[in-house]
Amino acid sequence: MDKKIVIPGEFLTDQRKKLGSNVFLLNNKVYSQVVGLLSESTDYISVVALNGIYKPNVNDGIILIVKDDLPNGYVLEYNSFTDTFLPKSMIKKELKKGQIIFARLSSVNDNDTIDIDHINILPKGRLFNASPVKVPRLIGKNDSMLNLFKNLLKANIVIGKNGWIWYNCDNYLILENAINLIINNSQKSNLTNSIKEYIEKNI
Amino acid sequence: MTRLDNRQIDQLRPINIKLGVVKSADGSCYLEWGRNIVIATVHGPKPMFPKHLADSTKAVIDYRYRMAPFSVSDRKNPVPGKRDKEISLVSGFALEKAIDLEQFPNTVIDINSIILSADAGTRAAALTAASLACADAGLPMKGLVSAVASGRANGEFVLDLTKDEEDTFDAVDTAIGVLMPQNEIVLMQMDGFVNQKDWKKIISVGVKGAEKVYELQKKAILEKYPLEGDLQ
Repeated sequence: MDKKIVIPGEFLTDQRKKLGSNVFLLNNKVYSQVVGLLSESTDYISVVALNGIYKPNVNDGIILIVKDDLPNGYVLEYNSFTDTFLPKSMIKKELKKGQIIFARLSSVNDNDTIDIDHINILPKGRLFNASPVKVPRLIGKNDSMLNLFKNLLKANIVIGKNGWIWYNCDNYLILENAINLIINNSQKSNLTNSIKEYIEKNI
Repeated sequence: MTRLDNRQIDQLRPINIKLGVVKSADGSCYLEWGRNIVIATVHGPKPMFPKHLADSTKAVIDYRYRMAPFSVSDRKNPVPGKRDKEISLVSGFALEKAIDLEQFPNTVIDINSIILSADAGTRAAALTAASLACADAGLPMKGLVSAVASGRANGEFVLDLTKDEEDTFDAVDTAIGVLMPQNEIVLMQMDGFVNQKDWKKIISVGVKGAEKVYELQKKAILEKYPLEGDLQ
């Protein structure tokens, strides 16, 4: 199917369909809410956004930074419009200010504040700030893009659903450029092959 | 009849739009509208400080319209005056109609429009650029706000007035912001004296002009995301 880019307020369909993300219903007609790629089947319609902020969902694996160390717990930052608080009773290890952790999101309440569990402390590495809507393209179909980084660049890489990427890699400049290329060209198809060509040319 | 700058009475000045020019912002837009130049940026949604200003049911829009000191021939005092504050307030109301604010409670969305060069119709240009910057930032929106000035000059009902036309003896200048494609008027400010019959004509000229602006906005968004071609 040909890809189509839609803009906010664009009329999509007047048929009865199950509504996915980033669409809204007005007078029995479906309109797009964001700039994005239209994804439509016989009974389902949604728009994949091309830019946006992270909206937390339960069971997401996300990367967080310890922003502050208080007497009773830690303030953690995670690329959203709020910070989260982790009581010291919830974690056995001690965290330090500035440490990067990977955790599972266990619950989200109405105000979009979150709770986390399964906390892993990540070792020394670099952090890249990408848009959360690009994460599916950064991972690729069946982890194809992620395996490309692991096999060709021998990178140790963790991608959080919130758009933050932690990595430890000798050729980190190539990796960062490859990630930037994916982010800037996420609307194009056959991206894995183009990125493979780019890495093989530059390595 | 053609005008001083060889335009038809219902013709816009040349408009040139580019999205995503400010990398540090979540969304941005550069707009040239005749001799007007505007840069609009969007930061957020982010936590509201001080917290008592936050709304627990929706996000708050903080829209700022500012003219650079060098944007006009005489130096403009950079301290925001009455005019800046009023335009910021009413344009913010227009954007509130377009953005789905209920998704981000207790937050603020900072929208800044800076006029680098001014030649009449800057509030319309700033609002047009700000709505594109919001779309570029990925904010959920009902539609785009397309704004344009229409009015009367030398007895003719004209679209997109220049500074010379604003200074004629019978000038009426109306800035109109339309939420497209719903065709809902979200901003209207008028300067001058006019009867009801003429005023209706001015509005219809403005709404038709906003449709033309909307087509250019659409084109600018699609240009940012080419579906084919080499990696950029």
